[in-house]
Amino acid sequence: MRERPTVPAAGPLRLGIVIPARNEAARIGDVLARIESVAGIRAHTVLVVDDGSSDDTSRIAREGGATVVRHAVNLGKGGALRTGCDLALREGCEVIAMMDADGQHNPADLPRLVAPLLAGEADIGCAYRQFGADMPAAMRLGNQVLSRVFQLLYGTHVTDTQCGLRAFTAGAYEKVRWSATDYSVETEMLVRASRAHLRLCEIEIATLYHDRYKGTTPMDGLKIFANMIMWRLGP
Amino acid sequence: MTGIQLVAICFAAGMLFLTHTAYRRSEVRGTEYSIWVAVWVALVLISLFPGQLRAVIAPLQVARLLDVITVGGLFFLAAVVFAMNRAVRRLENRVNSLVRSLALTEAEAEKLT
Repeated sequence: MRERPTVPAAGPLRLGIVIPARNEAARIGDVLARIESVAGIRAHTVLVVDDGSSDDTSRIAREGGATVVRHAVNLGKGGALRTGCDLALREGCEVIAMMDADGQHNPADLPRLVAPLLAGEADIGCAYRQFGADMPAAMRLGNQVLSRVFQLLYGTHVTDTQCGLRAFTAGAYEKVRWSATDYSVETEMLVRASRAHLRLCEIEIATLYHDRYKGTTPMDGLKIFANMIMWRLGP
Repeated sequence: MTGIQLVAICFAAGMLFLTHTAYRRSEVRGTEYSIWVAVWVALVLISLFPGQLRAVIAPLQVARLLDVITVGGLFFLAAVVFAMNRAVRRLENRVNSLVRSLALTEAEAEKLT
């Protein structure tokens, strides 16, 4: 029998899992159920930030046992993540993990992602996907280019700068607290982490795409690219 | 008077009317109203007396009067776009902090009940 993944028990961990969601009524329930099935995530708080959904995302998330915080209007992924992380901090979480609501991330990867943070070996955990055939071609190209450009501009190697499955300690969050409200959030987080000399660790995860029309568009990619240059030139 | 002069004067007159209406509806403030009225009046004057601008052609080393007006118009448009972008960004920041603050307050209130 396959053993259930567990988060290593290291003291009174309070892990906050932040999930930004917009019109994810079809998938959020399953994602929450899968989080619950990951054994050993003790004392966790699952915070779903409903970013102006017009469907039943909030209701389903509440039924799934999550704490739901709702934006009256859509602010974007970055805005939703910031609200969720701020709330996680207020709730006393020591480690904050972020994952997507569309099922792209497997909660079973959380223990591996969080383990180095609990062991004090890293401040930020980033997941990365293989840029293979499982990823739509446009996304593959965009992710590869952005990751390479990030390395060139900031001198820090991050395999997949756009993967949303991340975790950081509460202390690290104070240093990477972003201002981007859109899909630039993942990159800004890394830029700030790089400037603050935070310790990064990476884990490989499976590449899952359920909906090819959701998420970042080529326009978002261009905006992220422009922002990378702007942040490099800026103070 | 040429056709383009007539079009410019009609356009400026229409914009003056819209600016005044917006002011009466309190959609623009006094300073903004004055600036826009000055812009439209300037457009009428330039259209009526384009020859007055010929004095600036030589020092600016511009070949034609129309070029002066076109380049001036582009500068003005660039300034307006910049001002609008700044205003939209400020508004966006205010909306962001309002929505986030409301969401967090509601979440805390929900927790207490």
